[in-house]
Amino acid sequence: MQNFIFKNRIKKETNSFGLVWQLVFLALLSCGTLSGFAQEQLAGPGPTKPKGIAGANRLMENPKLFWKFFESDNRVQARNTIDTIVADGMKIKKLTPSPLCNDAVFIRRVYYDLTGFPPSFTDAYNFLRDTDKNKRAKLIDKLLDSKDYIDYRTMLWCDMLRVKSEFPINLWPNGTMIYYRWLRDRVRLNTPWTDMCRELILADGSNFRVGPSNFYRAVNPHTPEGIADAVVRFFLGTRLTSLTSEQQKDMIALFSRITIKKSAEWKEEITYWTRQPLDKKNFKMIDSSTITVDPEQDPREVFANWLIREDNHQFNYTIVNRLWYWLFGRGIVQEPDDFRKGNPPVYPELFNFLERELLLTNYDMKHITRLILNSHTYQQSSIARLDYGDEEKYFASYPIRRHPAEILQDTFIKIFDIKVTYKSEVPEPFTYIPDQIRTAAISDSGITNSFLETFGRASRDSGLMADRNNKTSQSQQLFFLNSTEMNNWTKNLIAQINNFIPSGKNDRAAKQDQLMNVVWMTLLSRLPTPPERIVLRQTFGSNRDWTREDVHDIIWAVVNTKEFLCQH
Amino acid sequence: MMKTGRRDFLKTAAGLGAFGLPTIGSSFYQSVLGAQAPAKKAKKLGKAKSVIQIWMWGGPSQLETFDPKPGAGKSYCGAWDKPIKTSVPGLEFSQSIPLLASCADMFSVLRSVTHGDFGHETAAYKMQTGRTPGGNLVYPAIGAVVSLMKGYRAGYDSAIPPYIVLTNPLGRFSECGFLGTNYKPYATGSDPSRERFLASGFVLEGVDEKRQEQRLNLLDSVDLYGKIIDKNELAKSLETARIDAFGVLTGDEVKTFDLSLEKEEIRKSYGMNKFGQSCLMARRLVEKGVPYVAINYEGGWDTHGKHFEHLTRKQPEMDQAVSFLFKDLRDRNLLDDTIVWWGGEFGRTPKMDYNSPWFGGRGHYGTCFCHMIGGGGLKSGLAIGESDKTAEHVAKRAIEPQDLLGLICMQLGFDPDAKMPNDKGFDVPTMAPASAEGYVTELI
Repeated sequence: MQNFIFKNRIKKETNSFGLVWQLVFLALLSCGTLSGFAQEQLAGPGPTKPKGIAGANRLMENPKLFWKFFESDNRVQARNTIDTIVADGMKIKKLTPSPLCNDAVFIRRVYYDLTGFPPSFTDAYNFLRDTDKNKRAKLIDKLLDSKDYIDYRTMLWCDMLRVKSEFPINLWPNGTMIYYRWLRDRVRLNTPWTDMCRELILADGSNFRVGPSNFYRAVNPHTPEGIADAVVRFFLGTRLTSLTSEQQKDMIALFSRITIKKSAEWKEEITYWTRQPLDKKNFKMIDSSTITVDPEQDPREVFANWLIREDNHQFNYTIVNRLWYWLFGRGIVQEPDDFRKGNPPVYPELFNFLERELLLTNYDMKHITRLILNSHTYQQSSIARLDYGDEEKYFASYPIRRHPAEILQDTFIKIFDIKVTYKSEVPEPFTYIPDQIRTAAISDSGITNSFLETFGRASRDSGLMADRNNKTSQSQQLFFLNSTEMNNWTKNLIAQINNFIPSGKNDRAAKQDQLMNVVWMTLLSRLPTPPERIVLRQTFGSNRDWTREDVHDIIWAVVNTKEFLCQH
Repeated sequence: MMKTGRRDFLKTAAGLGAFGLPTIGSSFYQSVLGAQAPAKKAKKLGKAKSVIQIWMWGGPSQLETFDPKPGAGKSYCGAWDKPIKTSVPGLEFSQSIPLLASCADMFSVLRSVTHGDFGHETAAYKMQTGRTPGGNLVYPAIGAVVSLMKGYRAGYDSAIPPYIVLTNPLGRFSECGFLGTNYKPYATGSDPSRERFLASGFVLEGVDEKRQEQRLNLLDSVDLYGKIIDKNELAKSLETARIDAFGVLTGDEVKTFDLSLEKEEIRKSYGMNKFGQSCLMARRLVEKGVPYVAINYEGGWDTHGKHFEHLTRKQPEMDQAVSFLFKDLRDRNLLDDTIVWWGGEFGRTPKMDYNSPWFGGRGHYGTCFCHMIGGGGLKSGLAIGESDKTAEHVAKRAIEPQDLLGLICMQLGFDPDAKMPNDKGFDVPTMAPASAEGYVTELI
């Protein structure tokens, strides 16, 4: 018998989202709206049309002339208290905030930040055409209520809570599933932050039956030190080592009466409070207050009551900072799990304001997220006015970062209609991934593939934010530039694109324009700029029909741009 | 530069006869440095440049390779009870590896490797990291450690990544451990015995050089937004990574992956199969200075059932390729620079299991098993450690994984006890402290 590698190939197939919008788009096309739309978009802001390739080159020498293609002419305004605070702070730092990004950048940004997907062609098209002044706020509300939002946020929670079946976390597949489902429900129901925390801290019972009881189990080994570290990191955004030694000792003691024991069921473990009294009664907390634990009391209960008090500022700051981090890729305190004396917030007043909002809405995390999304600070351009000195740190421009591994993979699945295979090196008898489950919605980080590993998906080994690695590497670039996979994926799109190009002996220039419109709208959610059109005409010749290979090369090149790879 | 501050302190402490040594928790320090080193006794560090690791995934049998036990009887030896002489007088190998026996003077065998772990994953973790699983840290595998110590930080500047796996990743562990993505191995994918070896990212089928160049030019001119944000830190690092990647694609390094440049005769000597050609590829890579190449040799070693049938089928290609690898490295004057290390996560149960459902198989066995190591300036023709009469227990000189891995570190020229450089601030030694028996310095 050969069972030397326990390999479960989990095949996942995702239907093309393409077909739906293809049909919609073909309908639009037949009315001839796209060319009108294109003219309308291009007639808006933007530099004067350059003449020929020389003009394009001149523009390349002065990139500032391109800014307008990504920024709004300020007809749309977003202003709230966040912006007042940030603007005041920036004056002191002598930084100039960037103007609002334009609609095309905005829709792409907000789709990625909330759903982890780029907008579909149709969504982008409709949004750009929409003349409603409140369309940004409306889009934000729509996405906050979407299923994709739930999936994406759940993934981010799972990273912090180490939802992983196998080494070194060892939740086991059905523990992972039930924990994941519990977390997903919390996101779906928008459970108040305080309720979520109480449940996690107090959950006793079977790892296979009580989802949140896996909070302590996910600390491996389950020592009081390890648990105390996980507790202060998740609920208070800090590290155990950042506490005074007295606070450290007391925190460890509070979690020294939790036991995890095996049951008769294979791999089942029960978490419970041993009822053994602690050695002392009074414990110093992180805010220097003292809590008193009576011998018959569960110390976790007393801790939880202290934790969720309204005046526990660090607890409140931790969650608003985390929500902020998820939208900007950096926190008001950065790293968001490293609150300590030497690491102050860039805008302390922002914490005060967001804390107030949090308390007024009974710890409504969606409310805070919505508030941030509607600010100018969130909606501003990612192009720094100066040279990216401190702009991103102080949110004077929207911080640029590489898309996370799962999100890139989902993007390819959605746009390129590719099939993706995962594998898990250990048997996952309880794991079945049905069709159309996106990568970001896979509950267990042990189910993986080489793409996800290359692009640094969170290992969930330590629960630190740094488990996720969004850095760039040569091997990632080799994958994009020269891998067989990428070549095939991009090839997949040719047929889809060609569906939009009218056949027959139409006007050649119109056909080429149409092709460029479709490629850019599909991949970048915007129309190509005049200089980009000129470059393509120059490269492939305006007096000939572009071949399949030409189209493939265009798609390949656009996929390799920084605009495609980065959240901006 | 390696930080040696703590080492210096320890040496001084030892010199003064201070009693502060146990803080490091290393029995090696106590037994070697503390006891017999009144003066500064630095470790003898070697000059090897590269490692080729032949990872026998599944756990190869010690009895049918480098530790035959003809006297143990049929219930242990099964059908193969006639070991053969090797090129080293007094050293005998299994009858199934005659070619390796003929070049036994080029490497040494370790017959008492032990960690006591019988699960593939945990045993593999121990064997590759030298550490025990559990605790808050996931440690990097030795390949990642070598790529840290001998890779880009240490002046390696080839476009070929410093840590390569032929052809698929070693296992479920993220082999870089806490060191992070930059120290992950590059896994080539594909199969070097195919007509064209498509090393992922290096060789692209269906797109010729000219077209690739056109594409790169096109990309350069359509990356409008990228040009606008070119002062951004992320944009800069992307650009650097891209330029590096361009360098790979346009440089000579790509040719390293082209096995058609090898003589047909050489290719055949390695064996025209995936493993044989992987060994040849490994030689080509170390020739270019790659510090660590791991060949993940799957299939055929986890012989719970049909033990001898599997070995009869699989061992000849292994025997041929590994022995020729040694000869080829020697003929090219690469052997003194290249450590070749052969072994799996554990060995196999010495007593055959003839019961249902195995009917003549061997289970997992982590109590005592064999590894083999040679080249890189190490002593050869030796057998280190001994197992007992039935190969079930260590009889002499237990070798724990870290003892072997520490030897590799030393022979590559870095101190296994020095702090592992890392940007996470973890204060951990490069390799786990040696066992009571110490790093396998008998081979130095």
